Amino acid sequence: MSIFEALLAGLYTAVSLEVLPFVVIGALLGLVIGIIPGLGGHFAMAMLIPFVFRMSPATGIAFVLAAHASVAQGGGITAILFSTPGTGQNAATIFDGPPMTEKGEGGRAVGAAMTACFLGALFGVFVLTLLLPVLRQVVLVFGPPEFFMLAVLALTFIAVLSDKGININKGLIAGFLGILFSFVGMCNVTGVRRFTFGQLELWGGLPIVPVMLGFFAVAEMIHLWVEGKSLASKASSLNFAGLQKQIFQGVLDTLRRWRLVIRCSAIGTTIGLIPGLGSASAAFLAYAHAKQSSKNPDEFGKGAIEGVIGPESANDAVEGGALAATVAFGIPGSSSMAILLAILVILGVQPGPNLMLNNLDLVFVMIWTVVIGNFIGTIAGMFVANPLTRVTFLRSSVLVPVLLIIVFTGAYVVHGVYGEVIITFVFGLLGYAMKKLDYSRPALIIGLILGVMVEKNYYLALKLYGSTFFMQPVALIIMIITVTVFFYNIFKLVQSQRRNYTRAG
Amino acid sequence: MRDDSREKRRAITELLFGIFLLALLIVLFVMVMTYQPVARRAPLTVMIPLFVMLAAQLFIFYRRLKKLQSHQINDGKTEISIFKTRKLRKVLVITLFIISLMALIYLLGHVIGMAIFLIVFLRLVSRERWVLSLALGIGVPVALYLVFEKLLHIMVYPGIIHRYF
Amino acid sequence: MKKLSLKKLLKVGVYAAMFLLFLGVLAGCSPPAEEAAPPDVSGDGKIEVEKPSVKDEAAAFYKGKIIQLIVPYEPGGGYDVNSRLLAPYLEKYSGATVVIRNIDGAGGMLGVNEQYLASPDGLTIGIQNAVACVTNQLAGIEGIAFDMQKFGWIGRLTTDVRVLAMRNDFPYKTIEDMLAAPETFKIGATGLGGSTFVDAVIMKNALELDWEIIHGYDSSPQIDMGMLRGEVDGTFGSYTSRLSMLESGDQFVILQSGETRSSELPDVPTWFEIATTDYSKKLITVLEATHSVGRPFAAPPGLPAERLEFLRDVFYQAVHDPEFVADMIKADRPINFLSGEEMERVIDDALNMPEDIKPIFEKTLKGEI
Repeated sequence: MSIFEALLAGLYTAVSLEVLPFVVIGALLGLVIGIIPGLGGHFAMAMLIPFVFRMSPATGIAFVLAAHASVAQGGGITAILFSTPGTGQNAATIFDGPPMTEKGEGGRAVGAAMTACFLGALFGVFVLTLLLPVLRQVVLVFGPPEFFMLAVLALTFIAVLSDKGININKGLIAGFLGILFSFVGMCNVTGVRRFTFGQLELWGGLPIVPVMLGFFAVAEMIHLWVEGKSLASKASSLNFAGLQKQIFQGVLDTLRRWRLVIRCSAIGTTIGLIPGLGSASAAFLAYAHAKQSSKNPDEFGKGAIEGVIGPESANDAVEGGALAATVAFGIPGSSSMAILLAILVILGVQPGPNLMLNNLDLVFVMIWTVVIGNFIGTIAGMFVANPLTRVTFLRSSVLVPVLLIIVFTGAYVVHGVYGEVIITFVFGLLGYAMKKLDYSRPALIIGLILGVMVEKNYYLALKLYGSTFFMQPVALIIMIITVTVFFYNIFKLVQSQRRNYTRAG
Repeated sequence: MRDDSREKRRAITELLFGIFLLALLIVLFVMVMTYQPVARRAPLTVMIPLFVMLAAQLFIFYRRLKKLQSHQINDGKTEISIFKTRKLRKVLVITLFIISLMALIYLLGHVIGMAIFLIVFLRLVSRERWVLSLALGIGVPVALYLVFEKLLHIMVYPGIIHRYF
Repeated sequence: MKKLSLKKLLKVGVYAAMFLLFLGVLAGCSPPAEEAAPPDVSGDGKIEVEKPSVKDEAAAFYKGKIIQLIVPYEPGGGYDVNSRLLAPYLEKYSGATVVIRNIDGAGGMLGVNEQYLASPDGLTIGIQNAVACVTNQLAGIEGIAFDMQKFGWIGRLTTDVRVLAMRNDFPYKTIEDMLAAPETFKIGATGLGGSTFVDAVIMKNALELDWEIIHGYDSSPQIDMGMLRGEVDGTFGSYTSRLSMLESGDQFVILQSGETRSSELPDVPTWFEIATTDYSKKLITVLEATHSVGRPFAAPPGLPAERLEFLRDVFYQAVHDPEFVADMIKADRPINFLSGEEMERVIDDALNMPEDIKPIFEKTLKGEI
């Protein structure tokens, strides 16, 4: 079967009456799961395991993948409207989504985010399709030396995120603090339990979703309550049609910025190819890139629509990359992909290279499901957003306590561990302080996600390739890029510094 | 004058937060020194530049504070009232309430803990009407319970008291 | 918004404090003796008269109740999938509703702590990675609240055949050739103290090999990736979780665990077959014992005997339900049932190591070898 035939066969199956209803149900379910804080795509998939058992392979795969595909949309809506990222992947949306809501442009932000999600996913699976013939070679390019270099490259973005006039030092402090926090937990190499204070809860490191819920959502709640404002302060008079119009305007905004969408999607897909980095870091890097490439980086954090489009297109583009390793080798790149593999086996499909040889049409069912599921999630998300946006007009004295308990419930259900509720609270206070005092919070999160990756891969690379591991060809290329980007950023920083001085003086 | 005291308040807050971070760093540093060399390596590489940057930042804060101090004629009164602001009080209140929410959840479990928290908060702090407080206070936790436990089959925290029954 | 009054806030604070104090007293008062006493089973007059068998009594207790099944890993992992597949059959035979509760953290230890501390009324049970629990208990790691010998064992669902899998272009195709070869081989492993690491270190010790053990990988899939890239030559792992890599031809098995060859791998020698000295045999026996505990289901200590009996019965029936067996075969998850009584013995065997072997294990777990 040629790729083109398989592509059509996959489409035919995906829109057949046997499969399509499950894609629709799955996508709607995923949207709801995404809206609930703390529950991510892998939960949506795990929930469906008992149901897919008696389905045909195509239906079962389509069902779970559709549920997984639309989670980012649901999380994006709550991140924009309530400062509550449903999952880690939507956390980067929180810097410019809520300020837009406050300006009365919540509908526009949601429309832009939904469209960005869909386009990102489309880009991801498009790249996956192009790479299909050479998938194995591409995935194998990345080993510990390359991971190490990529993580270092990503860390240099801390400098971009901390670009805030005279606050560079504060941004760097935040970033380094994040790296330091990433060392919490059992050290893989020595077995030493670092910074755990004797708590079992911290063995596995700081749990990322509770940290983000605290760092952004709880901090935002404290801020909101102290200021005594409602989430949307200026547009309480919008009616249903007006909102819908705003949402449509957001769609156009994203389409108009298609170049940004493509660049951020490329970041997302690349991160997706690398197991272990995850969609949260993709979103943050895309945010950093959107800021770096923007003409008015100072607008970021105050409701720049690019700050919503960037991360939202990246976090769904990840899926294309993550599917690659899963399809090519049967090696899962994320916990969601691990569930997908388990489900494939349950359905009697052998993952790995045989899938590409014998069941290429199934691969395309996956690809089409991601596309269709995302599309349904996007459309449905725009309609869900309308009533939800009206909630943001409520006064903070009512909204804050209600959102607080929802956030703390979400923090608990991630792993079912009470200790994570406390982590959420502690990071809530820290996040509030950092917000008030202008320490860059995205810098801290990037450090937190990447810090320990750098250490682990440094150790492995050193042990496997000796002290000249960075001379491996791909690693060397990434290193050159890193150095270039690093000095370019420093150059830009110095330049903006000088501009600030001249403006001030 | 008004603006000046606000700036001073901010400078002091900055300084305090910086000192907090420094103290945290020192605690972590002491902990790191007890680990074996390989586990120590990466955290130390991060700590040393972080220490330098923090020290620099603290120095900047300190200088700014001093500059502000010299601007202002000091009578002990403003010094004391500097932290008696409405905002700080609100931050403290909501922090205490979040702590009590966590304690309630820990003891009584999510559903009951959340209900008590919501009713008390809405009625006594937000000064909402009884009807609204009770409706939200009971409605939201029950809705969350139904969504999580009945619909998604995820157990919310049952509370430690649960263990004794 | 109305203005806040400090007085009112103070009042709330006092109320809250009083309330918390009251709760604290309440919690402190409940006598610990009550914990062990099973509620509403103590024979009151009516039940005595009818003299139903103990079993019926337990069955009546479970009818319509909710059983929490604690899975100490996140949704979608092997333990979770097994539990979700089994749950409908547990419901079928117990008459209760089974709700899965994922408590994930500290490599599964948090969830097992929770299983141990749960109220022993028979309404909380759990699945465990008993191999990790046993090794952690042996290593005396702080923060562990349980004693494996005190759990009420319901039965074992699966245990894995461990295999040493090599990358497909590895030049030596049999373990004899590999052992005779002059090169140093690289064996990949995950974190220190994990079973891929322990297996590799103990085998290296038992056979006095010069393997270089590359540990520090995040997870087995990453080791698989390393093998595909040719960075490492092989790794230990469970046979079932390697199936897809084996069937695709990316890896092949060179050595397996067990005293006899498993039916799936009739041509691969077991690790007992290559043990030559008494010392190596002894070490491998102990390693085998820690693995044979497998993935059991457990109830908290102090569970009333008739309820444990009932749960064991339900478990036996569920695991032997033809539909469930068919499900598991379809999902490539072989069942290795072991009854609760036998589990007790297996756990004892694993924990009571010979005195001369124990230090070696403890050192391995702590990464001192």
